[in-house]
Amino acid sequence: MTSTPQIPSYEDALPVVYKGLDELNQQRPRNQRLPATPECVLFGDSGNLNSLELSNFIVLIEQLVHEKFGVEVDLTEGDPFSPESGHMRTAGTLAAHISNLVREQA
Amino acid sequence: MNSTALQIELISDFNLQTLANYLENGEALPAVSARVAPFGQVVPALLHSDSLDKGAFALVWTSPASVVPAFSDAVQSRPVREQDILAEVREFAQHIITAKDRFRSVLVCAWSLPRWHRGLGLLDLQKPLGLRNLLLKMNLELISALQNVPGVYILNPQDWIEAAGKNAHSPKSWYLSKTPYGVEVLKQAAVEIKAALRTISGEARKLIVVDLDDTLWGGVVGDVGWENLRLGGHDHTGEAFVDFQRALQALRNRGILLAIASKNDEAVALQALRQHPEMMLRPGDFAAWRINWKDKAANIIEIATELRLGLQSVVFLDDNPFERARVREALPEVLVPDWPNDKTLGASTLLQMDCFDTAQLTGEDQSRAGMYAAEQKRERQKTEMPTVEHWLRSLQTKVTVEELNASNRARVAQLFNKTNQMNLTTRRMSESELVQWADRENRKLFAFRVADRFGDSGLTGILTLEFDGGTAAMADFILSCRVMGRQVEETMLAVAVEYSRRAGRERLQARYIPTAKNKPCHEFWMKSGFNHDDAGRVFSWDAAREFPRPASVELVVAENSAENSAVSSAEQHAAQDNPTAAEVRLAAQTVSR
Repeated sequence: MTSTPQIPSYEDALPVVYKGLDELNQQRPRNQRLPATPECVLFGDSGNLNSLELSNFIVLIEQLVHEKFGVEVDLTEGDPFSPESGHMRTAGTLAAHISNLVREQA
Repeated sequence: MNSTALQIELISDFNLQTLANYLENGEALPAVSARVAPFGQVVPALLHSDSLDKGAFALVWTSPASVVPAFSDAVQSRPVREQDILAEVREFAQHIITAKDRFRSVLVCAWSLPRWHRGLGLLDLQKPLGLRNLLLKMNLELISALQNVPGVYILNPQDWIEAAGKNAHSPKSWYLSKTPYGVEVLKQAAVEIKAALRTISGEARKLIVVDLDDTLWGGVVGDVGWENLRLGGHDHTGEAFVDFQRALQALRNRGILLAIASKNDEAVALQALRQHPEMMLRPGDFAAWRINWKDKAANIIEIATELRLGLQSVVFLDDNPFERARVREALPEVLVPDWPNDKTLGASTLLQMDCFDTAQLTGEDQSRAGMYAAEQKRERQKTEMPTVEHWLRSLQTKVTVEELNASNRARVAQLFNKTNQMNLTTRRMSESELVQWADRENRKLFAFRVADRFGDSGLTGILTLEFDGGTAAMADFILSCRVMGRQVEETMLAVAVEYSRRAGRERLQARYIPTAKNKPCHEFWMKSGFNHDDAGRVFSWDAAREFPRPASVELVVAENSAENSAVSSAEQHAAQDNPTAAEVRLAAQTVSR
């Protein structure tokens, strides 16, 4: 019997992103921890994450998506860091991207 | 950066910045300031990099193929000889030994392979050139080369990898950031490294106070009687309680003391301990107990006082969340771990606690439980004697003084770093730092062993002197709480005064540095007879005057003190300025009359 991956909505994907942020915050000083909000900026001119943190965050989110929705995704594909349309701009854009990716693969 | 943070340099062939972030920003103590050496430059970082200060630690975590090139050939299935691989391992170990002098301690990670690398598959462990076969031998060779090097400790990342589960190794992390491990491994590594730093800093716990009903055994003995306790038998819960007792027994054999704090009728509880056929721990295994209906926090204070331990040495185990919360609130220094509701998890919960780790294992550790049993006999006799003086004389205390030498330095370093109450200055130094400190012409370290008719308390005292002009300054005055109050303190001062006099010094001076825990030391010095300033910080004695040695104590000088002395060669050069070991003997004999 094969299980069908759950199709997540944006609202389903957002907690996964927040869980990744929570993990990332443990690597940061208390006064630099990131808020769990859709507007939280990840990458860009006012981005909060350095390149190592971005790498860690991408790997973490991919693992969490696999655990939660049973789908392997590659968040480095496409143009993740585009200032206009990159999915790594904010927590919210990333959640929307995850929702789309999982739906495409389901 | 926290100015009191311990400094650590992370040396690796891969990127350990994330580990550094976990170490610096994690809530667990100690506070750590981490510096990452340029990755991929392991040997240069070991041998040549500008070091942090001498008190810094180092972590060396490498992948085997990067520091043992011959192993890299094996990974590529190229022909390679096992002896060439092991020779390269020894060479790498030698670099670590060389680097050790630049650091307080070096933590070295054993090597592992990612799970996804099958090597020779079915034959990988079995065949001489299987990668896992080779790696086992390499790790053994590394351990063998480093196991007796003071200040070098070997960590096992395989435990962290297992704890991290299936995401332990991350090829993607490697390609993105040159980190082969997932963050769970690095987080676990930070936990273990901090535990190691705490251990090296001498913060190990020494006493487990355990509850009885549903903690040491299953059931309430006052209700069901000892015959019906769940302990052993054909019962999974009963077997689990037996295993929990075995785990406590193993810790006791390592020198951790056991005590009981239980709300019970004492006679009923002791009957269970004595008579239940599958009880692994008997009353004689416990250094103290308070089995009554009083507040457990108050009972724990009494137990710690009886055993002369600070509350920071105590761990309290109880299945009852109310009792745990009460003790946590009343005694914040006591470690009160959450205890599993599932009774089958007692042993594993206990054995995974890192608070009992020690940086050295000494004979004193292994016989500590017996020493406390002797102490109980001593205290009982004290109540039977008409005066304290009678009691002190009846003990027939013998104090043996010896110099720092190869056979005692591990224990000296351990005592140096874990003693809090009778400690003049509470300096902390690793074994190698201590040896280095003492290995100067103008310094002297004496160690004291204490025995009496009730038993041998082992090496329990340290005295260090530093000579400058007419003054002999006492750098350390350390005595284990196990022998406090038996006039060993006064005997040590007599040795210090006599030695200073024979070294031609005019005065002996001691400067007390207060801490949260060394008030007993101050109280002793205030009553010692030494002159002191108004603040009670600086104490001095005219070396021309003999310090009265307690009549109840026999003082002996170890015969092999000079032969084993770690500083004897330095003394030969310093004979003009400082007494030699033979003179120490003479001085002590003079004192011992």
